[in-house]
Amino acid sequence: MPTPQLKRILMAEDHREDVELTLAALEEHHLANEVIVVRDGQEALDYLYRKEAYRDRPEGLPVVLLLDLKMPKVDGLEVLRRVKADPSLKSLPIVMLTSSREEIDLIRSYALGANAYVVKPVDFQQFVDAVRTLGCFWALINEPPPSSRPATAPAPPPASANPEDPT
Amino acid sequence: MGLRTRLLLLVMVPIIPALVLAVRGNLELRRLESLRIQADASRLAQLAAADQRGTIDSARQHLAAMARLPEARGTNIATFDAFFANLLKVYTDYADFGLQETNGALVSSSFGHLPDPAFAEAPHVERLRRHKDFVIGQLRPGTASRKAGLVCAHPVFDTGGRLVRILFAVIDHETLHRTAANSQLPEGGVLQVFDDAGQLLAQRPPPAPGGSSASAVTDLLQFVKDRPSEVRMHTDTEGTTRLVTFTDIRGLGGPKLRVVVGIPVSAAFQEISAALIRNLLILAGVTLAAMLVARAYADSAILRPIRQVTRAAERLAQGDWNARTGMARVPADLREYVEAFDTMAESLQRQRLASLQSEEEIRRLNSSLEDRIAERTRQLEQSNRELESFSYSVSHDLRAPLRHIDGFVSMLQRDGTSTLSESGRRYLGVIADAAKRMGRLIDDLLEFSRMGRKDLEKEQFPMATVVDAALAELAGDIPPRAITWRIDPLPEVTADPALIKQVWLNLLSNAIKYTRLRADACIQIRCTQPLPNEFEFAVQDNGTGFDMKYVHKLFGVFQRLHRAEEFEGTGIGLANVRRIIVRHGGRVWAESAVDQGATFYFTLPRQTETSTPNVASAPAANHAAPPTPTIDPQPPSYG
Repeated sequence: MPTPQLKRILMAEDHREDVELTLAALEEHHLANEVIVVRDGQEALDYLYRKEAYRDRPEGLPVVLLLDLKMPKVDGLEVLRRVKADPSLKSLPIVMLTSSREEIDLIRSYALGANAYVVKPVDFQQFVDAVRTLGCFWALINEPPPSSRPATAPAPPPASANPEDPT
Repeated sequence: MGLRTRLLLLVMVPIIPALVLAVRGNLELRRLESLRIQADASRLAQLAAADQRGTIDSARQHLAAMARLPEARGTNIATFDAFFANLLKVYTDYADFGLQETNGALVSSSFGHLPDPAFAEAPHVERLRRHKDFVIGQLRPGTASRKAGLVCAHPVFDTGGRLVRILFAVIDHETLHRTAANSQLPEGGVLQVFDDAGQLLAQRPPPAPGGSSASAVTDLLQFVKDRPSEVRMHTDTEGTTRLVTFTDIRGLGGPKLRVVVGIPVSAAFQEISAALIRNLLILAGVTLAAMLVARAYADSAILRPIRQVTRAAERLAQGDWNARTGMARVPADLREYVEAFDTMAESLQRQRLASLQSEEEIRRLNSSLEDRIAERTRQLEQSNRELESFSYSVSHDLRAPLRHIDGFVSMLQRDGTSTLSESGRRYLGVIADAAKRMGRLIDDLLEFSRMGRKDLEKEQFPMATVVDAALAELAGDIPPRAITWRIDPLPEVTADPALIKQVWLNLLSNAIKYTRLRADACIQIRCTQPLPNEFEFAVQDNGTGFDMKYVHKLFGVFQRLHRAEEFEGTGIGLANVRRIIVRHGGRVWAESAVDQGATFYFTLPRQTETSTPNVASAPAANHAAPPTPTIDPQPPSYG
């Protein structure tokens, strides 16, 4: 069982306020040792593919990607599509975290393979609750795919884990 | 009765007089022929009479000669028997000769002088005594040795001129028959000679030998007597018809003899009948020919044009606009009819052509209309896409800042309250409330927009179940106070149950909300059927009500008639109600007065009309519907 401090959460969010609020909610419950924030879809892809600014980042994938739908440059759906289309990345769990309640967004997201879809509540307390639940689940409860483990501290592969079925 | 039959009957009309004329002429001929035959018969009767008379006259001469012999007056009677016997041998036409006393006593005869009392009293004796001249008597019947015959008598005078004896001769009956047979009668003619006593003296054809007269022709004497003057036609037992006439032989010194002659008419009439038949045949032939001609004429000159017109009319009826009678040779009075038809057909064709052109024009217009509709549809789809994009940005972009406001205000309230004044903390609360309210407004607005685009999912359901569900859902929100509910029995309806439930939720929650200040709150749900194809539902409360002068604002988006401090709400509920009901093909309206309560009405069509899905399913129509534009000119105007 990997220790919690080893877990990374990748958050793609263009609104600075949202980033701050989300981080505040996560920190309140000490759920994330490391939250990597990217500000648009392109940066998210750069991080995942270790390109550009993230060329030298440590290997390994985050335990979850919190993905906003509407972002500059490459939007959330495009990131989702490319991640899920790439065999080396498709095991990465992706949670859509968005303001949109539109049915069409839900349908498209799940069609592209999103692992969850969460609407950001306007009410701050509700928002905090939602983020805390998310963090609890993905960082603590959920067993991430093997590729999420950092190379610096590789854990022995669990006997029961199936590499072909990461989620 | 067909035209042809009538024409044939018409042809027969002039034939009838000709037929009558032919028959009448024939009857006239027949009458004339009868007269001619009668004349012939009379003449033949005369001739026959003359023949008979000749026979009698020769008897007279013989008797007259003998009467002058002195022996006839003498007394040597004994020699007479032989004399008369010899005489009979010489004159074979006779059956007997003899002498009688004036009292009738037989003196002598060819067969001796035995007394013959019957002969002594025979009529010729008396007749001769009276006339003292040659007389004829009657038929004397024959005996075994002596033949029958007609008795003739001649007086024998003495020198003083006194009648002393009667000399008689009996003309052989067969002689008379022979004479009759020799008469010049035509084939089949009959002749009968009678004495005054009605005895048949002679007849032709002669009686069958040995038997009595077994001829088909019976005694004609009585027949003649019964018909004194007319043309007498006698039909015998064999069916031969004869014209019968007679003549009398007189001047024989005594009674007359009657000669009756019957001439067969069949021979004479045969020709006339043949002529009649011939005439009738000719007439029939002419009639037949005339009828054939008439029939042919009727066919060619009348029926053919009519049939041509009929056929052309049928072709016209089947849509062959080129159909014409196409007849050059038509009788003048039918030509008008035929030409009128052709003119009509021509006119119809022209009209048809014109109508085809109009149809073409209409088709062209329709197609351009379709183009225009397609263009309009495309525009509407464009607007729809813009609207979707609008709601999308509303959902995304408007909610994000609100969330930030709320989030940071919350964090400030949590972390920084110690540094804020009392009023500063109140301001933070106001900001947080406003942000939350705007979030609700945006959510409601998006919900309203979604409602307009969602497809109606109609089904049949009892309205009561939906009302009950709505009331159950509202039960949690109703503050603990007494509300009197009066609910009519509700019908089955065909509609989208989820949306209709939304309608009831809105109307009932309004009714609950606006009766909040009433101690004796009463809410009624009524249902009537003002039209056969429509249900009308009403929700009546005895709450605050509203001023009817603002009723036009009632169903608009974000339109409120009460301040938010009085009654909470975003002002979207009735706009939703109207949108849902209009999409179902119904109407909504309200009646109220301030503090008099309010009644909200809506109608639903009874059956699923084909027009309703048009409103429901065509996305273009939805956004063209009146409620939608209220979004644009009515930006959220809450304070």
